[in-house]
Amino acid sequence: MDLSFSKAELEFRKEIRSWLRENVPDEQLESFDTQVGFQQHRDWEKTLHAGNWGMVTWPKEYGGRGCSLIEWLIFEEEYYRAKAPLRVNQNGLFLLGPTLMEFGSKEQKERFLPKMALGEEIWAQGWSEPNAGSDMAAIRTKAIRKGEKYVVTGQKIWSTRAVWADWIFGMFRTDPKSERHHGLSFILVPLNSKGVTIRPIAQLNGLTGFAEVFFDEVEVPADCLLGEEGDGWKVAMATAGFERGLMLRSPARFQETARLLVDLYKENKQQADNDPSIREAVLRAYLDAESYCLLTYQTASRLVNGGHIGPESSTNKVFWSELDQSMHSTALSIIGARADLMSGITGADLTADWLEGWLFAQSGPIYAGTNEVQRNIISERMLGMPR
Amino acid sequence: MDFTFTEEQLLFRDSTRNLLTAEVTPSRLRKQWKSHGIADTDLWEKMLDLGIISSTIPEELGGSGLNSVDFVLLAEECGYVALAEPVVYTALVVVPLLCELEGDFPRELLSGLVKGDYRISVACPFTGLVEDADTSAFVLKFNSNKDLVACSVTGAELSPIRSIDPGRRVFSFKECEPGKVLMKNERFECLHELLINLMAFANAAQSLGLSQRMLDLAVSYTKDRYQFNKPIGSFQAVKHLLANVAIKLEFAKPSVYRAAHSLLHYAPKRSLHVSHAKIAACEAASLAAKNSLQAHGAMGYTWEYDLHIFIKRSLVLSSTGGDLGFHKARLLDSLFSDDYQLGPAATFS
Repeated sequence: MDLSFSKAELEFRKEIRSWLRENVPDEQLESFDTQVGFQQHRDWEKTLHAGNWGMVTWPKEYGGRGCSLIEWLIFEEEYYRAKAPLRVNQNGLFLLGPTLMEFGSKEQKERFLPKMALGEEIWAQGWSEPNAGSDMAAIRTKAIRKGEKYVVTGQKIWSTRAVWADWIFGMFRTDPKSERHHGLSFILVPLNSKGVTIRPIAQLNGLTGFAEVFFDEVEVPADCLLGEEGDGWKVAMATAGFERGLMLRSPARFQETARLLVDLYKENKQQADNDPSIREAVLRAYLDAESYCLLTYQTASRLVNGGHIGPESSTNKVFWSELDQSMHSTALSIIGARADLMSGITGADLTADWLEGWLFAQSGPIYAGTNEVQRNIISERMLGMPR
Repeated sequence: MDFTFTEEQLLFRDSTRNLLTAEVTPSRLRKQWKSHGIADTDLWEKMLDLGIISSTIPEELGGSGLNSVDFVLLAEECGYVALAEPVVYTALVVVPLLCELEGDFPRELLSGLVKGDYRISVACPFTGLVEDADTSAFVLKFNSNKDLVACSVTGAELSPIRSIDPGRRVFSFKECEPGKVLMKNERFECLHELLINLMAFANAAQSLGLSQRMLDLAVSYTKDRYQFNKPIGSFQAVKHLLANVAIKLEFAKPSVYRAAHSLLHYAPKRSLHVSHAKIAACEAASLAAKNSLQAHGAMGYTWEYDLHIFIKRSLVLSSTGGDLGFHKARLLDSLFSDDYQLGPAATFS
């Protein structure tokens, strides 16, 4: 056990820190859930790529740096420290990217990864359907093979980034007679295809961060199948593993929130101490963010040493999503009587940021598999409790 | 950066686990309760022979020179079986404290420990109480002058105090003659802090094992116990009780391992890391106690069933070694000070 950074790791930190200092825009970008903001974030992905910082863990041949997971964590720490823009292509870079590297053909990797890294193709997720939420095996949207094409018919919902994205990946039923986990396939669909209709859905902040996607006999080239036909469940589980595991929410994000929360408490100590539970809640936020960082470094070290990510990764998702909720509600408790005011009074800008984060935090225990589903997975696969 | 244990460390853990689960069974612990007040000398001798007791003593004094990172996994295993003998305190508190001191007498005491000539206990810096004082030859304590002294147990006034944990043998202690000074009071602050850190760390490590034990008992019970024609472990309400324990435990572990590393390397923030570990691990054990009992229903509330052995131990480990209020206050003092570094990139800096 050695909890210090190597010389190379320190050098790496220095390099990314100075690049970010030069390149992170001074003005905060608009939300990527607006048309303007989406384009700004797409441009930012280009800037990152130009500096070769788009996806540091990817192999060099696909535009990455071949960095270790430890270096990725360092990158993320510096990224959040520098308040760099959120990643509009997260679905692609962190979820589909690793899945493509594991299951994609050589042609598919060459076709999709570089454009993903460049921000030229932004990806949406297509898992849920109106009757397939937590029960993902209930998926009914069909993709029927006809010659060199799949013909897709049906509907996806809650598709993150789908309003302005270029492509969607997800699971489709390729065998219409199949049931449950069988007969599903993982397919990539261009969102500009004929027969695709996108109906944006406004989220709690009023912006359209997700959408319904309707497929009416949409023709998709057969080489957009990822993995074998009928193996969709297996491929999707690998993607979900990345999502719940390491890549989706790096600890830096929560450590930065915890830092801001401690500052907020210090600046409003007198008001905050009216509620004696706040002090402890702030301490807990700090400790939990720290624990999340420690566990992530531990997992990353294990993977670097040849270990695997197991069902215990489901504990991550529950932990960070509940931490994020509690940090934001603690912040609003500190702000107190003015907690709902987003403009027009002193301090409202700061409050607006906390409110935005608070709304978003409410989605954490729901997306990427609800926390109830995660707890089932933990009890069944990690603890071996009966189904 | 490598936050993993070596093969060797894991192997030593496994062999210790095998030994402890075979030897330290709940029925053995119960037998000990019945012979009220008498220590299990056979078990101590066995662990002495295997070199576990002296494992953290430096090699030149006859020990195996294990450090806190090597021993943390063994302490977890001792917690798993609710070992009543003071193996963990000897290896993780008495020995490191003595190793910190210069002069012949501390070295002499360490050599005596290796040879099995005697045992040494420490007085709790919060209550003054001494665990296993009756089986010890010396008690380490701070006297009224804040010197660290080794008091001879011979002739001292000992009276047993009853703990809710029948496995805890604890005494009030009054020496009959002033102890021999190990370190004058100019190093009091530093040694006092070290003693608390060592006790808190030892308790945190054992609490991880205890949590795992309570979780294992509950998982196994809910597989076997049927109601409504199904194992109760198939009900989500029961599953989620135990999943919550698993989450808390999973996230407590690395804080304890980091504390081990910080103590070993005298990291500037080691006291804070120990406090973090103590809080995280003891809270995990306390949730494990509560939820495991709930998962067992009335069975968990009986004297006959073994769960309470571990529940009661978790209370002892949480309240001793600095209670959670002490550790939270210590963290809060630093966290809200002006120069405290936190946020991304601060964890390992």
